[in-house]
Amino acid sequence: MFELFRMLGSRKLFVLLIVLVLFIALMGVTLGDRIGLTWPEKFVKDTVGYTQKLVNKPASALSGFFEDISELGGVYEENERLRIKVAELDRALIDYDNLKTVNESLKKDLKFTEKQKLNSSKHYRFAQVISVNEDVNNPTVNIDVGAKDGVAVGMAVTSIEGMVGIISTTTDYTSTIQLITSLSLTSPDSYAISATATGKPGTFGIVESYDVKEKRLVMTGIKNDDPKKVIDVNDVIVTSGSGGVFPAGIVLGKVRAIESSEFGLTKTAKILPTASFVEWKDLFVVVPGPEPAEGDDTP
Amino acid sequence: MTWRKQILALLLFVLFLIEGSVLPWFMPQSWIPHLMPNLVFVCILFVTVYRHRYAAMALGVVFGMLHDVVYYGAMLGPYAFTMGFTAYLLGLVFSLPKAPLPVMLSVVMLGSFILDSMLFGIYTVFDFNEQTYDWALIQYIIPDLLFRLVFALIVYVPIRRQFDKMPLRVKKEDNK
Repeated sequence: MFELFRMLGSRKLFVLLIVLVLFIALMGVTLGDRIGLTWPEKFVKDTVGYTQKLVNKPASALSGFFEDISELGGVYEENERLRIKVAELDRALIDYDNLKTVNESLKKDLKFTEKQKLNSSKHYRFAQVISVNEDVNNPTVNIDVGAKDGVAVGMAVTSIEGMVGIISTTTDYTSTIQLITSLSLTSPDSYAISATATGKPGTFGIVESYDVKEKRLVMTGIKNDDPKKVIDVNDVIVTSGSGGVFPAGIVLGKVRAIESSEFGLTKTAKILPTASFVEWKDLFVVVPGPEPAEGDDTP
Repeated sequence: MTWRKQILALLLFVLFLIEGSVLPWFMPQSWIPHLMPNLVFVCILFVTVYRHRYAAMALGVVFGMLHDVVYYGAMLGPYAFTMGFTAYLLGLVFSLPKAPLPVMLSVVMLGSFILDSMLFGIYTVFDFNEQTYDWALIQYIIPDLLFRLVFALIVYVPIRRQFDKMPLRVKKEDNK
């Protein structure tokens, strides 16, 4: 300690300690749930976001070009596959439209409130990734849509494969996504996602943490008592929409293992996320509520 | 002559843009979970060795704060504090305007190690990670160190040449 004093001089050490205290105070104040950002932060985020967009556009185009070249060989097979898929989709779409109209008329008959209607429908807003923070402890991704485009804090974000994260902050023209790989029980600002298995109505569990070592989402609180409502290995897990935080039907992942929980009353499922978390290009912000009339943003 | 400083700041900003918006699209996908290419920090270490520790500390705080604000997810301040502090500390020990390549590379390794360890410590104190230190060491601290070392090797010659052209005004600054 005395060595340190002699090296720094007591005045410098004093300044250092004050700076340390100030920074810890800053970290403590900005930790956890904040109501919006201050205007300097918004200004910096918007201006840097704009320049990042300029830099990012040629870069992603170039990397896309290289990818296209490497995938040139498989184009014919893929085309064949996609054609079959499109034919199937066209058939499914007719069924879907039919079911949708029936469903809407039933909702009207049952006198659903506006809030309930809002929860049961959603639409997607296309967003381009402009920058990625590769910090392992605090993974975030910035996208090029913001509050002016109707994006708000707490909305879910998906890639084509599945859910990627949750909007954590927005400015006018950009917003930041907190990835679901940073979900944690101890973290001060984390979410709990209510989830269910597709095709098995009545099943329920809560996804609220991510196991970094095994690379699995952890879904807890599953009651596998009723033999008709059992979540099993290889089930596809989607958000259930109950609780009203996230709309229903966003794909989270596939169950890889079922274990007993710590206290033995419920089961815990380890879910392999379908999103890859490495290929960042285009994402979709899930906006609750029916589609606005003019745009058609569905993927 | 004085323009070099402004160009240096601009160059750091360009590096900041590159590490967030260009590199993730060109890195092999298997590397992405293991690397946080903090290229700005490597250049700030060059400043602290070949120029002055106060300049490096100011740059570290400014660009760390920029990183914190732009990628705000958990809290503001970890990067600003760790980058500024590490640059100052290393400048205190290794302030050698004529430092050869091996010394500079060991400064980069040491700085990278201290930066990542301090970040790990801060995030652990505020309960953002539950991993053990040895896991973090293997998963990203050592890969980071190697990546930054290679980057430092690449930019050593051009940066050194620019710094040698800059007039050193150490006496004037020290007398004040």
